[in-house]
Amino acid sequence: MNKTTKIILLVIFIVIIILAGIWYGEIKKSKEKGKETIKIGAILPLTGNAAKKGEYEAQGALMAVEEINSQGGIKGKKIELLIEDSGTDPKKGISAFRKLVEIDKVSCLIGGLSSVGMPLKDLIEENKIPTIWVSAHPDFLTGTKYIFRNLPTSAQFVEALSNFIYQEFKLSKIGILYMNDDYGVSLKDEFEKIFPGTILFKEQYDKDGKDFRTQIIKAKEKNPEVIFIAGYGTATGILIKQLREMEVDAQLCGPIGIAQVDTKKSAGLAIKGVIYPEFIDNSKEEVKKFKEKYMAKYGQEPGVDSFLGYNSIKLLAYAIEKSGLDPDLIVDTLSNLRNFKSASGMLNIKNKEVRYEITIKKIE
Amino acid sequence: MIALQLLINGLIAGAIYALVASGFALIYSICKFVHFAHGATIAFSAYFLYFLFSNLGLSFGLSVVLAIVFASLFGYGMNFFVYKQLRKRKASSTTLLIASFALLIFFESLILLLFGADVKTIGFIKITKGLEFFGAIITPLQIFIVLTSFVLFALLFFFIKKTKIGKAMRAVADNKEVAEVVGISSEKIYSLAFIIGSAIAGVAGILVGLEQNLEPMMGTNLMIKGFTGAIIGGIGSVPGAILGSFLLGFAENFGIWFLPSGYKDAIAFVILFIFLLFKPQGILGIKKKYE
Repeated sequence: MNKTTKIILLVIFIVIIILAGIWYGEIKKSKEKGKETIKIGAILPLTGNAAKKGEYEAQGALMAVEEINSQGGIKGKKIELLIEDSGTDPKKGISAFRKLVEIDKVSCLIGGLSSVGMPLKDLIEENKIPTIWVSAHPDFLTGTKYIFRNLPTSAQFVEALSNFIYQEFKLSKIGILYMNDDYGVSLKDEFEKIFPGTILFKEQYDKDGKDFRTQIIKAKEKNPEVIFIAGYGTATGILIKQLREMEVDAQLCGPIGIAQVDTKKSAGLAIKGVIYPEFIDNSKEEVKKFKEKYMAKYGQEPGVDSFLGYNSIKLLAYAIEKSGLDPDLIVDTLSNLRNFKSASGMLNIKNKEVRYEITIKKIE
Repeated sequence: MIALQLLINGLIAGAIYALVASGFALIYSICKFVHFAHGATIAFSAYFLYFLFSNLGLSFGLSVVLAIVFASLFGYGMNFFVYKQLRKRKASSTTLLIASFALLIFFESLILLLFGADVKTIGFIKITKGLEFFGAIITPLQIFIVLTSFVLFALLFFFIKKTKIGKAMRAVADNKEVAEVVGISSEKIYSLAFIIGSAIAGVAGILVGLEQNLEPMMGTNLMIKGFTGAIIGGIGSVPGAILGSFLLGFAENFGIWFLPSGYKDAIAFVILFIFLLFKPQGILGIKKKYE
């Protein structure tokens, strides 16, 4: 055999392999046509420092998918959930998006984390993929059509809390102690904007601080009826403990972060009586049921993100059932959704934001 | 009223800084290098107390004693296994400083690995409302912290000034070569400095742990303020470091009465810079001509 024949044989061989591949693919496709599925993609942080959030959301979403499929799916078609790991890394999020949209051809998308979601915004719009994302970032929805936010924003929480203090407690003299980070400062700004009463003082405290006694006497001098503590974590717990040690008797309130385990632990008994807004109300029947089911399935208590993941899928499934797979129709259906029964009670969608019923809780 | 409360707040903060700074300054004055891993000793002794008291369920008194002994051994161990070996290789004090950073990071990570990142509370003292003195409020634990620090400093002062070993320590601190000529083993004195300094760190760790809870990074945070206090007071002098720490506590607390409280650390570091620029030897530090 001379060189030319060798090359010709090689080319023929390669062509045969390629043809075989295409043929096999076509067969597979036609086979799949019989049991066509509705593909939904999920981009979640399954590794990295937000891995627990991702795990919760994935488990909640899978639970919803199983429930829908066991009831016959959407108009006879089963849902197929394709989960990709973003590892909390925006770059990985983009490659996950490309895989899900360009290769797997998913029709809708769910996901979590603002940092991963923000760079995906333009891609989602370009590809017209109806998306429900767990993000509290204030700019997440600006300039978008196909994206929905599935998490109450701090403005919504603060509004509920401010109304409660002003209308239920009828207290109007308030002081603000806020943590010197993004979270604390933005909460303070929101509160200032919304609260109708008088704000006596605004003092910041350090995220890693341990000793707040002098801030506290400054606060005490002003004699507030309520103190809004915009923070979370250990330092906030220590602040609450020292407030009580220094005999500040004002009603204390804070954001959802104030009910964190770390805050509770470092505040000890002093945390009693602190009020905060919450959108998953453990006293609701739906929530209790969901928790039971979740425990039986995964052997652990659901986190907030479990509820969110579950709800994201349920919302998409509802929209697809009503309006098919056309992205614009899905967005329309979702945009006008009212009184939707979710795992955490009734919810509405307003301005592309999933609105949960926010209740004010007291730490016992 | 307010002035008294501010004074008390400054006293509490100062006592905590001084507990950190005194052991640190003792080690510095004798061994002549900056032992940042002192923070690791503090954190480890607090966690050790937590382990003995909350996990093993030993009595509180016994746990405290064991935690202090542990802190001493821990400090001694660091000197024996790391610093001594480095000194044998004629390492400069800069090398020792870097080694001490490495130790600090290593042990903090080890705590993270062993105990996890979440906050731990020793839970021996339940939250109490403070006691009132002429309108100023202080909790019993805080009174205990301030008194313990005073007693400890008095004992330390007496030990260094009056006992034979104390005199030997001062001799080494003053001039190692001459002390060795007289027959004092400097290595032995180094070990002793680590044992005593680390025992004080143990006490500091326990008190801070009771007052502020436990976190893996607590050592670094405490060291920053303790180190600042020591520099202000004169790093080579134990009484100076104590004085500097109290000064720092007062300045911070009186300062944020007038300024927004976000400036607390800024106040501390502005004072630090002023001293570094105009009186680098600190309040009680002695300018040494031959250094």
